[in-house]
Formats: sequence, C-alpha cells, structure tokens
Amino acid sequence: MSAPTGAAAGAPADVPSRAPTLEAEGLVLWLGEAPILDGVSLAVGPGEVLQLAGENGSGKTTLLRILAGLVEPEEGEVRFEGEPLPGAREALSGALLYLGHRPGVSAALTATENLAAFAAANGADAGAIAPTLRELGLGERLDVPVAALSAGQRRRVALARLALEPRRLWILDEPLTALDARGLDWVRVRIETHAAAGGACVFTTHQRLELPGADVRVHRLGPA
Amino acid sequence: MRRAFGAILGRDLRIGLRSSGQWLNPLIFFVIVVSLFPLGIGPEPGVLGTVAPGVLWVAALLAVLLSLDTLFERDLEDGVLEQLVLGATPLSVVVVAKVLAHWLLSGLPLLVLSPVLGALLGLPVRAWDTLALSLGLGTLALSLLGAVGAALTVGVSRGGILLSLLVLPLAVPVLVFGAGAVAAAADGFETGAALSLLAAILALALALAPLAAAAALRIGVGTPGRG
Repeated sequence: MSAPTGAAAGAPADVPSRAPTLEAEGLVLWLGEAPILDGVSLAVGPGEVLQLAGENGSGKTTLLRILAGLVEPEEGEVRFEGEPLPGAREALSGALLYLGHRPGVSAALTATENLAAFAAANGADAGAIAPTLRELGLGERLDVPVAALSAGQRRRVALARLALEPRRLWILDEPLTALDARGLDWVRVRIETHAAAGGACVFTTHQRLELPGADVRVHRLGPA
Repeated sequence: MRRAFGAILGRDLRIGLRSSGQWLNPLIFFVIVVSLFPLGIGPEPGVLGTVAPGVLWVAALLAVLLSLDTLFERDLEDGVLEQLVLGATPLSVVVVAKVLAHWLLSGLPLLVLSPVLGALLGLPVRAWDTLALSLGLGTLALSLLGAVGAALTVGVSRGGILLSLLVLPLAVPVLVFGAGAVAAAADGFETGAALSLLAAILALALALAPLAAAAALRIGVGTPGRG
C-alpha cells in the first residue's frame, strides 16, 4: 500500500484558526466523594502527539471521554479549534476519531462488515477495507464474525479505522492493548504519519511506545 | 445521511438475523402466551372470541417489550454505541434506523402470524385484516416509545423490569385503541376512528420519541460507570 494514507489525505496542514485543535482548561469531575479529575488543563495542536500517563484509576479514560465530548465535566471547558464543546460538537464529530477501551466493533459482524458500516456512516472509502485488513494480518479472517477473533485481532479491526477514515484529531484509549510487536509497529507508523501530515493525537498506553518520527509530549495525571 | 441511515439499518438487520433469538424469541413468546388462554379459560368459542382482541393485543404488547432490552444494550457492550453518539449522523436519525430494524425483526413477524392466532381464539374472519393493520401501526408506535425507555435504562444493570415500568403506562393508549379497533371489527362496526387515532399516536411517537431517546442515550453513555 503505497497510495496516500487516509490520515495524510484528511489532515490538512492549513487549519483555518490558529487555535489548538483541542484544548482543555480546568477540568474537574467528581465520582461521588472522590475527585477523578482536579483542574486538568492541556492542549494539542496540529502535528502534535500528546501521551497521557498515570497509574490505573488516575482518570485517563475519563479525561479522554471528556475530550471526545462523551462526558461533560462539572467544571472547566473543552475547546475544539477555539469553540467551546457542547456547541462545537457537530464540527468535532466530523474531525474526530475516538477509539475507546471497548473496541467499538459488533461481535456478530465480520471485520469487513463492521468497517463497511463505519465507512458508510462517516463517508470513508469502503474499497480500502480489504487491503487495510490484509496489511494488519487479518487477510485470512475477513469473513469471520469478530466474536471468533482473538482480543488482539479484534483490536486490529478497530485500529484499521485509523487508516480508513481521514480525521484530523485522534483520541486513542489504550490502542496497544493485546497487540503483538507487529501490530504495535503498525500503530507507531500510523501515529507518526498522522502527525507528520498535520493531524493531532491524544493517547494513553501502559506499554512502551517509541515514536522517533513524532514530537511527543507527556502529560502526567494522578496524585501530585 | 440516507447512506448512513441505510448503513445502520442494514447493520442491525444483519446482526438480528444472525442471532435467531432476537426475532424468534418474541414470536414464540407471543404464540405461547396466546395459546395459554384457550387452556386457561376453556374452549367455548363465544367466550374466547369476546376476549380475543384484548388477549392478542396484550400478548403483542408484552412480546414487543420483551424484545426491547437488546435495542441499545448490545451496542453499548461492544462499544459501538459511543461511536454512534460521536458520529456525524444525528443521533435521532440513528435511533429511527435502529427502531425500524428492530420492528422489522420483532414487530412484523407478529402481525404476519396474527391471523393464525386470531383463528386459534375464534376471532371472526372479518376482523383479521383490522387485527394485522392495528398491530402494524401499534407495534411500530410501541417500538418507538420503547426506544425511549431502552435509552433511559441503557447501561443500568437489570434494567429490563425498569424498562417495562417506564414503557407500560405510555403503552396504554395504544392498547386501548388497538384492541378497540379489533373488537369493533369483530362486532361488524366501523373501525376508522380507532385506527386513525392509532396512526396519530404513531405520528406523534415518530416525531418526539427519537429526540427523547437520543437525549437519553447521550446522558446514558456520558454517565461515569454506565457508559
């Protein structure tokens, strides 16, 4: 696959405003009596990669869900390209690719069917699905229900969307879970290509992910 | 948007047809509940024919309710629901597509089978078409109302009974006019008024339920510990 990747095609370097792609300010969220997030601020701009670090339970997943607009913070604000979030939801939905810790693929459908449904809903190119899955080592299992795949293979099906759907902001929650070395390498190249093309990426991982081709900042969460 | 609507509809139909329980269970439930009545009440055609409209309608109502808890729950577990919430397609359009798929799989078989069960209960032949028509309008309205309940209880553990408590009161008008139309047809009376009211309920549900369900889904997915 030497054709231009989805990430390169969909991440224009000339974003109209000078504001960061995604910016959070003073996010506070309580779960019962305990604060999960206590005044978190961060920003990620075009071509930047931001890694959230922290122990289990430090609020990484919750923070990513707030950044994606799934959860509303009790205090603070998330801005997408300068526009505060509930209002900017529509603009964000056209620019964001969010992969949560649940892969987001239906167990009863095959890998191809899952990705075709996303492609149709998000206006992506369905013709690239089979080559991408082959590239991910799933060529033999294109027509097997995802329920019959291993956890790592299921993760790969979800990750294929990184190549298929051109979006300029990626929010990836533990994208490397259950992946082997080859899969990890594939994700590394994807993130580097995405950043080089001017896309922004926020992700979490407990594994080591060296990204020599990208400028990675680390934001540490949790008890100071 | 039409492409996205078709994609979601096709996706849900495919999933539903692959897990036979989704369309088969409500149908079997409907058949069993209805066939319990001749056993419980006794086989006198006069008595059975009188209660037939109500029995068929209550059984259909419960069968639809029974099938509703899978409407959003499976997508929540797979992580697909949060993708739909974040997607570019308006969430209310997603809800309509999912409800339509759900109805084609669990509502439509009920009305196809209804004449057979009508015959079992001794419902006069002249009421069969009204039975199918009223069930068609009514179960679609019930699926829409049920979608609001299913969206409100998404992610709630053992939400099935809560779902029934939320939806059953809303279902009363549908039941009244649906069973009323069938009873009127059985007695040889005019059914236009009851069927028109049923259609009006359906139109109202189609206008309001998707918006309410979409709002409820957003809250459900966004609640820490539920999403």
